Amino acid sequence: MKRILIRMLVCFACTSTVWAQDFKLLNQDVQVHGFASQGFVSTDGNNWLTMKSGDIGSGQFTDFGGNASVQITDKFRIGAQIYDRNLGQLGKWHPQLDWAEGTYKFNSWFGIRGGKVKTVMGLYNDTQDLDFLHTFAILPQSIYPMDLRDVTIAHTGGDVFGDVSLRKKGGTLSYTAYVGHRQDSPYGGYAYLIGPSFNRMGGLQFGGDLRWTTPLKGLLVGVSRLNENISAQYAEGTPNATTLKSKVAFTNQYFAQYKWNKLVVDSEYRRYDLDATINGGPDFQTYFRGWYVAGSYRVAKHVQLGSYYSHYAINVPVNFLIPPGNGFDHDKVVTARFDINRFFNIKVEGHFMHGFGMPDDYPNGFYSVDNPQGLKPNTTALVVKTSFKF
Amino acid sequence: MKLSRITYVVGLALLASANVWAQSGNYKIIVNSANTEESISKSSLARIFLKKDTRFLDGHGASPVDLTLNSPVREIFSRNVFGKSTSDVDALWQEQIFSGKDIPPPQKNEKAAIEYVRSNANGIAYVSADADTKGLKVLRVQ
Repeated sequence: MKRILIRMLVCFACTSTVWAQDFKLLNQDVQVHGFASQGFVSTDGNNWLTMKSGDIGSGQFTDFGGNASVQITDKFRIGAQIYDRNLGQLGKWHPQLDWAEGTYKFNSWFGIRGGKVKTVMGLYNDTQDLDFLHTFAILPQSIYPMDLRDVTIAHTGGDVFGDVSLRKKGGTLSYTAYVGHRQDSPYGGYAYLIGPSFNRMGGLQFGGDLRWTTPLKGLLVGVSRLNENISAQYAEGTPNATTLKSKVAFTNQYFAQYKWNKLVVDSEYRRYDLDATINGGPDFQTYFRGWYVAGSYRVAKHVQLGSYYSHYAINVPVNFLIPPGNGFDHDKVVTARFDINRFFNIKVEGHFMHGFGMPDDYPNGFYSVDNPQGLKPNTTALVVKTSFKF
Repeated sequence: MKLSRITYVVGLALLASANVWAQSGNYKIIVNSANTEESISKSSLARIFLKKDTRFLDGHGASPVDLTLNSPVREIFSRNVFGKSTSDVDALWQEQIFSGKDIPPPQKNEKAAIEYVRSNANGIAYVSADADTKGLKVLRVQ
C-alpha cells in the first residue's frame, strides 16, 4: 500500500496537468476529488503518537481519501467521502465513511444538511485531515490531537447553517448548529489507551459554532460549543465489565485568525470538562485546557515558513481506577512548506516538546503502554511529510 | 461653456470606460439571451461564482461556470472580482470540497463555457473580451 502511494506521489510531483475528475451520471455532473499524504517521523524517545522512536524514524503516518459529489439542483447537493489512515498503532488501514450527506440551501442565510457530517468547530476541525490545506505537517495537538480525531471529527445527524450579512460596516456572521451521534473507532486513541477490553464509546453530541468575519479585512473571530452525553463500555461479559457514563461533558473553543497579505496568524483555546460515573457509582473527572498561537509567512511563491507554540494541561482530580494527577505538554514547532506544483507539496518540520500529558489517564500523544520503562521529560521530533490532492 | 461641455463629455467617457474596462482587453460576462439583466455588480458576481447566491437580482436562476485553473482570463477575473488570486480562491474551494460543505462551479475551457451558457438559460460565465459570443448577452459590470 505504501509503495503504491509513494509512486503516485512521485507521479503527481512531476505533473502539472492533473485536475479533479468530472463525469456524467444519469445526466448529472459528478465531481470526484482525492488526496493522500505520507509522513516520516523521527523522535528521540517516548514513541510519540504511537510511532516508534529511533534514528530511522517511522513511516507509519499515512492517510488518503476520495469523494464524489453531485449538484442535483441549484439548491440541493449530495456527496460522500471515504477516508483511511495508519498512524503508528492507530487507524491500522481500516477505511471509514468520512462524510456522506445531503445539503439543501434555501438561501444564503439558511440551509440544512443531514447524514454523516463533518463537525464545524474552531478553525480547522473539519479540515484537520487535509494536509495540503495547512502550513504545518502536524496541527497543534493541544487543539487537534490526531489520536483523538474520532471525538470531534463528525456526527451522524443534522445541521442548520447560514451566513448573515451585517451590512457594509458589520461584516458577516456565519452560524452552524447541529445534533447527532458520535461513534469512536476501535482504532482510535481511547481504544488504544483502554486496551483489548475496549468495546465501544460514543453518544449524543449537540452544539454550535458562531464566527464573525469582521469589517477589519482579514480578521475572523469565533466561538464553538460542543455538548455531549456519552458512554464507554469495556470488558463486556467479564467480571470487570465497566461502563463510564458522562454527567457533564462539554467543550468550549475560542478562535481568531488574521490574514494580511502573505502573513497568517492563528490562535485557539479549548476547554474540555468531563464529569462521569463508573458503573453508576464513583466519579471520574477530567479537565483539559489547551491553546496555541501560530504564524506563517509566504516568503516566496512556492515557499511558506511557519511556527507555533502549543500547550495543554490535563487535570484528573478524581479517578476510581487509577491515582488522580495532572500533566502537561508544551510544543515549540518550526516548519517549512514547499509547493512543488498546484497538487503536490513537501513539508519539513521540527517539534521540541516538554512534558507528556497523562499517559495512563488521557490519550494525547503519549502512552504508558508504548513506554513501559517510563517517559522522558522532553521529546524532539523531525517530521517530513508529502501530500497531494486532485 | 464650451470647456465645461468638453470636460463633461470627457468625464462621462472616463466613467463609461471604468465600467467597460472589464469587457475590453480582459474579460466579459456572458449570459444566455433569455436573461433579462443588463448589468451586474462585482459583489453580485462574487456571490454567484462563490455559490452564495443562486439567483440574479431579478429572480432569474444563476448557474455559473468557471474557466480552468490555469486560465489567464480566470486569474484576471478572480483578482478583479474577488480581490484574490485563482489559487487563493481555489484553496477556499478545497476546504469546502473535502469537508463536504460545497463543490465549486464546473470548470470548462472557454469554448465549452460559451456552449454551456448558450444551452443553459441560467448560465453565466466570464470569457476573454475578444471571444466570439454571438447570440449571447454581455452584461455590463458595475
